Amino acid sequence: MLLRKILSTFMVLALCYVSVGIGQHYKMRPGSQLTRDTEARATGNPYSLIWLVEYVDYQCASCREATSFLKAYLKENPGAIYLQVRLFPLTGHPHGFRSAKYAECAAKQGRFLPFHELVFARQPEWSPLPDINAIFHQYAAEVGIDTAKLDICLEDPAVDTFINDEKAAAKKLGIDGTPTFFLNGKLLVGRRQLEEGLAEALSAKKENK
Amino acid sequence: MKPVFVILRALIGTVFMVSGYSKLTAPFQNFLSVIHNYDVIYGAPATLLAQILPWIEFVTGVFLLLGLWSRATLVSAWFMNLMFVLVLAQGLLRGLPLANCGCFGDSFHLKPAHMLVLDILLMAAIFFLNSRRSEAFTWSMDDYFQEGKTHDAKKSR
Repeated sequence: MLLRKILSTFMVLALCYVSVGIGQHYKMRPGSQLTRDTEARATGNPYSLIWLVEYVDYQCASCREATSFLKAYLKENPGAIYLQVRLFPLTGHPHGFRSAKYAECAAKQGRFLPFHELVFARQPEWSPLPDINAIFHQYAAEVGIDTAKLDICLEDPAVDTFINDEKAAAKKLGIDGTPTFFLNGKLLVGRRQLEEGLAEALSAKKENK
Repeated sequence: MKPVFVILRALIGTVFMVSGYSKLTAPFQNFLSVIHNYDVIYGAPATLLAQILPWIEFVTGVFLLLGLWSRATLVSAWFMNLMFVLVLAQGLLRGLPLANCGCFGDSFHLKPAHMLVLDILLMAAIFFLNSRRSEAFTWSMDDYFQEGKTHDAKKSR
């Protein structure tokens, strides 16, 4: 009887393993790959050996911290990395999607990075507001965005589709929160993993020289 | 009274199973980030825990649901809950900025204070089940193998 029980246990464990494999397959789609698009939302050296993709939600406080860390990092290590920002508006954040739309429209006018940094820097100011449109127009004007063109872009349903598609593709890569990063294709979640990953990548780069 | 115990056992098993499965079907880095947020362990031990704990949770849940190796499973579940209670409590006492507990991956989000209450209730329920193990593990695989053993013993006499 004990032998039968042990054999049954192994069978149950094997079923557990298979069910997890099936779950991973359907949720993460292992065939999904990170592509080097979204050039309009990029900064740094495109020929660098360190390629970093950052997924953000503008209302997320941890993303604000990570962005300020990355800004300082880029300043300290000019040309060391190539950074691409992608949008992953969280459903739990009421201004997540709207702010992502503004950022995408800023990118269309070539003013993504200053707008992106300004929105994060002023997050405590706009995040509790019931409506962000007026204040975001103010920010847009501050960084030299043509607000008339911005209004047309905000009305464009293609922008919504583009952001939704970007988020759907990110989900297939296993992303379920922000800030999430891909450092040379390796997934990192949160600022601590990013710091460790960047330190490792930078020292590897120096060793290669 | 027996069905109540069995339902309780199944409920506890389901909580563990869902919690483990939702973490296992996402990259382990997501759970590693949750561990980092509690500011207790870092580096290789945290990475190892992020990869192992969801498996222990999932298997414990499945075993509880099926009623397999009941004593060991209940002990494992109780100690896991104790660990969760301690980690959550220190996070709350230190005022760490934890928007959600991260206990169920991306399946659903619970605030740390709510999860702490749920974990304490689970600990009490597991303790109660352990004290009434023979009733709680009716209609279980353990029960099935135990009956088989008794049957074999009778036959050999």
